Amino acid sequence: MNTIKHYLEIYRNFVATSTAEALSFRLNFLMITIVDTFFLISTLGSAYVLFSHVETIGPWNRDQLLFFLCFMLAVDDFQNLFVTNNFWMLSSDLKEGNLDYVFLKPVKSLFPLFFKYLRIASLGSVVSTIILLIYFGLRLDFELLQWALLPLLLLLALTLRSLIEMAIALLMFWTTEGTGINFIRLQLQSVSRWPDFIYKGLAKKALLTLVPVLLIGSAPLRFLFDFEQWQMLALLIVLCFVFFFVVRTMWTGAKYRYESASS
Amino acid sequence: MIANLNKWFQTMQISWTTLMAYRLNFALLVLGPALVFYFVKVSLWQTLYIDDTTVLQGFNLKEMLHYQSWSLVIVLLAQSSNGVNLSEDIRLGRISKYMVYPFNFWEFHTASFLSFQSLQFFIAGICLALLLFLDVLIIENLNYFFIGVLYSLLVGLFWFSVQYFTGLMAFWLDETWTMRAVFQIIVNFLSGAVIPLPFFPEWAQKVLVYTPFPSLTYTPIRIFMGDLSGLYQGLLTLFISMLFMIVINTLVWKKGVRLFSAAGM
Repeated sequence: MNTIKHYLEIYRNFVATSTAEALSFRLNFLMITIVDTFFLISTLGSAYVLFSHVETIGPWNRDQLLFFLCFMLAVDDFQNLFVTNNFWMLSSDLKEGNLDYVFLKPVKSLFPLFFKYLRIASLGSVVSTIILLIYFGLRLDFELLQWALLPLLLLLALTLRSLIEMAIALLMFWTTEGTGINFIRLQLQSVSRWPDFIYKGLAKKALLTLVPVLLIGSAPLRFLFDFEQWQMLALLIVLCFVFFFVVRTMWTGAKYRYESASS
Repeated sequence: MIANLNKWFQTMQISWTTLMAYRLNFALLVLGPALVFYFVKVSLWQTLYIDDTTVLQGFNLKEMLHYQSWSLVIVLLAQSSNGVNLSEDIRLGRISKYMVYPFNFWEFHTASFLSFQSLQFFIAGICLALLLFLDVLIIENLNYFFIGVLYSLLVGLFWFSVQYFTGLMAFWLDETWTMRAVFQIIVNFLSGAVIPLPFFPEWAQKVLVYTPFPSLTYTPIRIFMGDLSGLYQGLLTLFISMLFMIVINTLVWKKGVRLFSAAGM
């Protein structure tokens, strides 16, 4: 219990520091909000343009696809808020040897490594995406159980996405230059922003198992639209555990790879 | 004159060496995004077309795949440079050295861009050869193809002028990636890089004609696909836009450099 309290206290300080920093650079704060808004408009706008020419995309109609897109945008926004900045900072911290301080602190090093920096500017985007998610949920006539499951499914999707990206980010300890690794993350995100049924063949199999980014959105929503389609969701839960152990194992190896820039 | 050209060439050589020092990183930064973007687009359009006989806004599946493949070639030829190094030079105070070097800030970064562009040209050539070999693409007309390549290189210059502008914003902004991201998102959506312009509502098409966005992707794709109808308007738009960017960049540099204070000087 004391340990949890200790970590919560540390996290409270992370939030306070990130908030103070975000409010100090108000123009950056505004620019990030603009980026998120444009991204939202272009994503939903593309779907609207496509659906003015077709009735369905795969088995889904317009409202289902728009709900899926909002779900993925919500995953993006929550991840941006809580985790993403740490991946970019890891790249520079590794080169500059700033991780020395992380290792010296009396906490599990993975905690400050992936949760220290929050992107407070994403808060506005989180709110707008959640409002849109509720709007499209209402259009789909969701029942009480579906509404109750939605936050849990969002959390599961966010967990798998974050664990996969942590595993990818830890590759920076082997490659030295981390910008390219961060771009792999971004590319996998863009792949996962469309439902699994648009992909085919070997690529689809790989993206559902080896690097299971297609499960992030498709598994929860297939289940939410039809409770009989639970198999992919079960796979998502199993893979959350698998990737948790992958991250832990990689972290053990990564610590041995780290060369302090100050030594 | 020759001495100055030599400086440009030497800078390009240094830039080649720097880019090739981390080859995996270079591939992940340049080739990765374009190929993944292509993979997603092709997968999406293959799902949208129920069968080979479906025609959407004048495109059948084969033509749409040609369209998306030419879009990949254009992205590789013209839209991969970014102003990251430029903004870092400003943010980290490295522009002090350009004040004393006999080689200007813009000259150094333009030479670096040209070296980057030559590598991009090579990569785009390999991709094009692969797409032709796999029968995903066909060259309709060799003359139009060369016009398309030259036009795309011009788009590359305009792209660089915009990236140069976003880089210069580092005089005011702590992070300039936001400006690059906004520009990239708008271009991907409105230039026809994902959805060809005839798919847009009629009112949007009428508005887009008066913007430079169609000239960046849609027009060069049409040229590669054997339709020169948008060439002159595209060239005019590009020249006016570039002229505008050169004026803006000169003014922004003059204003920004007054704000710059070099630490340790």
